[in-house]
Amino acid sequence: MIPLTVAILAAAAPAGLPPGPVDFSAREMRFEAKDRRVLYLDGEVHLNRGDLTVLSDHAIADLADEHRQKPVPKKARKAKKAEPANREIEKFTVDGNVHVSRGPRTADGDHGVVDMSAQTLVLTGTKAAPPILHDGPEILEGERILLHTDTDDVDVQKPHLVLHRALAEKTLPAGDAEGPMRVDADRLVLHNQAKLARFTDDVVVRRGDAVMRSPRMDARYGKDGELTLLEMRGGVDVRQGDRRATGESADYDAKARTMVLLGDPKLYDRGDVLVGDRIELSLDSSEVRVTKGRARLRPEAHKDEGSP
Amino acid sequence: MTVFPEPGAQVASFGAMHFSAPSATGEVSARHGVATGGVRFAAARGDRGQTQSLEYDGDTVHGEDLVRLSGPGYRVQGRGVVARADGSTITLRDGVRGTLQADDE
Repeated sequence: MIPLTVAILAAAAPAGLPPGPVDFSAREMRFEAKDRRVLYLDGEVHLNRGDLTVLSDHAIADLADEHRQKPVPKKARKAKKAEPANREIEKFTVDGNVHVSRGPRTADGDHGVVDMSAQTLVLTGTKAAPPILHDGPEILEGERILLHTDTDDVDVQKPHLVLHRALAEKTLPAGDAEGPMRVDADRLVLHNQAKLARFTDDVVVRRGDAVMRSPRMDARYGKDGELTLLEMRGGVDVRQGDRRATGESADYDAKARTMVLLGDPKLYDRGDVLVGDRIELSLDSSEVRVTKGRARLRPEAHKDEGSP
Repeated sequence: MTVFPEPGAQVASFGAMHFSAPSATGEVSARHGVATGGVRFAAARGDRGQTQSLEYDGDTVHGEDLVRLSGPGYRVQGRGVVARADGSTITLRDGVRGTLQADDE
């Protein structure tokens, strides 16, 4: 049984980050003339821009090269003989106990780079403590988490998700105790506006005793952030106990809790092999619907399945 | 007192720097001095600063009072300051807060 109760990070994400000043506080701030492009902040560093807050032990602000600043009008140049100083921040590099918060999302890591012009925040960690993104009850880990502060899209390398948020508690069958769904892949991109989570490269979904594998999986969400559809493409392999199903593609309807396999779908159950144009599996029961089905059955393989 | 940095000096980007204080005492031979009563700093680049007192000991200029600095694109304050006399390093300490990319005041 695979009662998928996924809802992901697409609900109620904040709007794009507006340009503007960066407020900061720290125990100490240092400016070194030889590094005219750099400001150092140390101790309990707190950076704030709009609704984005970044905390860390240390931060380095890289200022834009003076030659790349907006040109100073001739009049202003005459009035001020000294160099123009209104230098924009190119990026902040933050280190040590990095904590990022924005709207319902928080993220933690060991190292981060806030690129002000690209409007991105890249968070990394260590092997023992990879960066983590929290969105309400959902937890997302990966080798590297890239947050787009303009679109709120998220790009994760080697994501590992533990999805706790239920479709809606009342839609779960009684006794659903298979716990959260776990998803691993090489890459995950969360498209906030499209309410789409795209997992690619060696996607593995586990819940209870069920394991689904596919090269690519799109998870689509409703307006309230609830999972509506999982679309697996490029070859699908589903295993659950003695049952195994394969096909070119599979769609999982999260509300009906059924999976439809297409593209030369096959269902293997011990010695039985079922093929057809379309195979629909109920993941809450052993019910199977086949369109234009053909079967090779081996009843002797099911002798131990006598009625209780 | 107005300081005109040598071209190429580490603080040259500030342009001419003007320091003022109601009271200052010092001993040139000992390379020591104290300015009190409200020290103000203004640079041709547009930077401004103020603190209650500063002490010069030959290598550094330091103060233990609230320091406010502002300039094109920044405002910052700290509860103390220490700067190398050649301007190579300026450190605000004991709790710093401010704004970068701020609008000019």
